[in-house]
Amino acid sequence: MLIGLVTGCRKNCGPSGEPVLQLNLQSKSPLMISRIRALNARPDAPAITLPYGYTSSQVATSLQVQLPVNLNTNQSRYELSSGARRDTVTVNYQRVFTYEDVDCGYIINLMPLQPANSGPISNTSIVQSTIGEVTSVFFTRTVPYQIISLNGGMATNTGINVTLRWP
Amino acid sequence: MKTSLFVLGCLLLSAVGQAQDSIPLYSDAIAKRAATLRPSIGLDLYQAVWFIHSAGKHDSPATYAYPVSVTVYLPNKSLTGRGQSVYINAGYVAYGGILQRNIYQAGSGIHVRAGIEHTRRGLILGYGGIVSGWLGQASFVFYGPTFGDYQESIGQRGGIAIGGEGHVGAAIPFSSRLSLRMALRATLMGVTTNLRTPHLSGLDWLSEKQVSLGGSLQANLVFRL
Repeated sequence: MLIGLVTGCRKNCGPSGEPVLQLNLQSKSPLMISRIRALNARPDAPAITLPYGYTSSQVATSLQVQLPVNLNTNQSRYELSSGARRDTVTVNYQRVFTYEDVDCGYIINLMPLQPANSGPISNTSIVQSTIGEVTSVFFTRTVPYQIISLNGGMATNTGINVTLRWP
Repeated sequence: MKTSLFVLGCLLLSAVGQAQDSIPLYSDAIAKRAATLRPSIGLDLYQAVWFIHSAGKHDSPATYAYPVSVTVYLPNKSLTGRGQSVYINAGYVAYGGILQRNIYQAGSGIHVRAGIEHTRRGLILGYGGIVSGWLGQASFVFYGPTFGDYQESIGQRGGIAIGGEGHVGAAIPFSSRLSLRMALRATLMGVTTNLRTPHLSGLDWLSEKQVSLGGSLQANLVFRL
């Protein structure tokens, strides 16, 4: 990383581990997330950092949390606790591994998964929430890029961005 | 009279003895010279560094290199004094490691190198060629601290590398039969595939280009047969 910064020339290859699911939580009332855990995680899995966000004067809340995506299956599940409320969020996707080049080796891309009933791909076929409403879902592709500037340049890492509206 | 005959006899005997002594001395020299021309065998002690380095690692998937190599020297002049010899070095390595960011390979390789080595006043200068090959199982790995790593096999991967090389070093004799021959070697190699082995047999380091420069160290403990 330091060499990359000094030379200013380092190839971005996308995630080398679990890609990130960015979860945006919106609520009309003040919201405090007390606990988030990934379901089916390893016992020694690192704790998930609780969301940062803001509560505006209009008592509306917007929180953001970054969650790891399960690389071993096409589904990741998380449990969010807010006081007595519990939301189980399920995210479906497909993992595509492709060989890039000698610098990157294999890269990963997350893509929408065709539902099992061969119905159309929709937000609710990708994300299910027990108490929230899915308002938007989009996938980012990995774009390898040779030269990255300090802010990341043109390179992007694959990931999923989900917005949920809680009551 | 008897005494003088005895003295004469003794002198004769001693003369004969001397004559007999001088002949074995001469043949000794030949034998000694012949002995220095006997082949020697060397075991590379430097490879122990790789064993120690590998034992200290506890990563997953396991990265390791366990190389062994044996050298036979066929001198046509004295090996320890001023002379030259033909060396033939063969070795094996078991390896596991990651290249190209996330491609893991585990397998084994063998090499044969041969060349000519000149020794003069304890200094070694040598040059020769090497052929090295490897074969193993490959997979790619994505780390998953939360849900577990993802590792997928991409089948068998192997290759062959051919190169020319030169080395400089020093010979330290311990006795007439035992010596340590240390050398630093530079190799120019062509490799058949763009996916290298994490550890090429016979080389301690190799740059990741199709035609690349390699380096190796050796500390051969040499025993004259």
